[in-house]
Amino acid sequence: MEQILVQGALLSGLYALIALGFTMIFGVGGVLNLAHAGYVMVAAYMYYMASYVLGLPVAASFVIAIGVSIALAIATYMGWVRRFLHNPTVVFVSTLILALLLGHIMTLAFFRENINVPPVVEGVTPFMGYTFSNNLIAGVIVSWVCIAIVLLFVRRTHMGRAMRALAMDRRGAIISGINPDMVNLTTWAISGALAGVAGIFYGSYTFLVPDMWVLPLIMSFAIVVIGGLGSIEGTLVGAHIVGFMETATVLAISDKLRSVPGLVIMIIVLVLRPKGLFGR
Amino acid sequence: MCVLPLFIPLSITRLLVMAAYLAIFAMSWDMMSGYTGYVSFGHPFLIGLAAYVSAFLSHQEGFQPAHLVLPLYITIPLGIAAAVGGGMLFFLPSMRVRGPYFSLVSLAFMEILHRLIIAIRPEYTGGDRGLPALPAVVTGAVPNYYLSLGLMFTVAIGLWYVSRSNVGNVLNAIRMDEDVVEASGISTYRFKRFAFLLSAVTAGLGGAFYTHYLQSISPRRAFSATFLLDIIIAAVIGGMGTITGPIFGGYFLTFILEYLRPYLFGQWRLFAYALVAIFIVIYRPKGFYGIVQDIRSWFQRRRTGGEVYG
Repeated sequence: MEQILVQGALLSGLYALIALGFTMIFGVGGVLNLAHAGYVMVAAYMYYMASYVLGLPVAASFVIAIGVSIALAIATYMGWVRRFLHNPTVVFVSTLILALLLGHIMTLAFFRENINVPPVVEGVTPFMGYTFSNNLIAGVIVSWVCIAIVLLFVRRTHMGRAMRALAMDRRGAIISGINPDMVNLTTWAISGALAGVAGIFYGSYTFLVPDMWVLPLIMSFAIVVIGGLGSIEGTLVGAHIVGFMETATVLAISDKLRSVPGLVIMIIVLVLRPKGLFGR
Repeated sequence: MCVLPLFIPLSITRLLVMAAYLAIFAMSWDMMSGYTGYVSFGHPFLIGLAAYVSAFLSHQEGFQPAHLVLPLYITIPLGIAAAVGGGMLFFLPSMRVRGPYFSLVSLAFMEILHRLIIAIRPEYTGGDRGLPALPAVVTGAVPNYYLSLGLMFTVAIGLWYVSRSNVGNVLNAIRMDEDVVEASGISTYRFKRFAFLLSAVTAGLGGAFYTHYLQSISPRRAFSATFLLDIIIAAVIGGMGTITGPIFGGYFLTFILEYLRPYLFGQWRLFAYALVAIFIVIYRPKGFYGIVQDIRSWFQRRRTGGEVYG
């Protein structure tokens, strides 16, 4: 029981980080970026390469992984998504193919085999009779710091207010002098950075394989739908529901069913309350 | 087309069979998503359900506990019924939600079925490995060619007939503006349900026959993102909401992938394919059907001296 609580809290933090970037893009731009989990994967590979293949220090590897992931997000937005904000179907299908394409690129660069990434932070911490890896604990602390920074950014800065204005009323925001293109670009960049941080820790939480983006993508869906697409508070709550359910399932039943309870809750929420728990 | 197998090598005949099945799946997807604009990511759910039900009932493998074994002419209809029933039961509630929500739920169904098949009763479903050595409907490349061609034309004519009727018009209108259709007194839910039903029947039909053509089934292949994207890309390349487009898309995709094989190795081929698919989705969202229409209207303009447009 204690193990479920602690490990669930740790996994939830990581999920919250992945889903946060995913939901921000929808909230501001009205489109879903299915390549988001692809950035998570690329960041994980980049961190592995910088840190263990090239032997760079941890800080430099962080910069490289997060930088590549931000660059990918910006390239996706500037490349074509900017021109298709009015056509969510095109964005939807094209970003899903992009995620697959990133998987192919990773296969070409690193081959198909599973790569075990050494932890970012070494060692384990005993707690209430169980041991938890310091790596996961560090991941959760970093996750919450990032989430706090994003929340502060969205609530306190001019750009953050512009994001919320754009999410509430696009036309009104434009009339009051907000440049929607700039705000969208910033949102995509932030989302890319979040994916980068998440990727570094997610990679060492599981292992690297070119289709590792599928599970986080599907879990992000469940999280944002439970919480309400576009709502930051909802995402945090949804991440914890899904994270705890998943941990409980893995520890109590079977590792193979890890994604099922979250998805079942998502379907129940959709049928009973289609806008999600915190949806507008 | 009927005497074609007499003149071509067997390898190409086999390719034509694969293309015909992909065309069936793409048309099925098109009926649901191309027409109504509800992008389904859950087609492998319908296809896999039909395939698994028919595969499970039709054979007895050594590792399985003894169970009822039925002939194919019973199991295939049962498989289709499972696709329709399962689709109705699980998929239909998601029709209440619109746009991206629908796609997300449909993908969730695919993933749930995938996980359940692996984890629940692996002694029956074969778990990760799937079921090998299934009975075949007909054996040999040429009989299978005729079978797949017959299925494809049946599906194509059926769906084409529906799309030409008023139902097709309503479904198109739903894609353009669902609220307006609703406001004009038409129950969009009933029409969506009908499109969904047709889509599930054709997906089930294709899935059940396809798995007996391959004579094996595995969760990794049936519920992969790659398989899902093959279906969507075939429909998008051909032209969404056209029925004839996805047939072309299915054949084009199968053959282009095969003929790229000598030039691009393994992963490079898939890489090039994904890259081209993105460009088509972005720059030619109407697919080849749209290109053909553009050319036709260009000729029309030339004939009339460039004065009439459209």
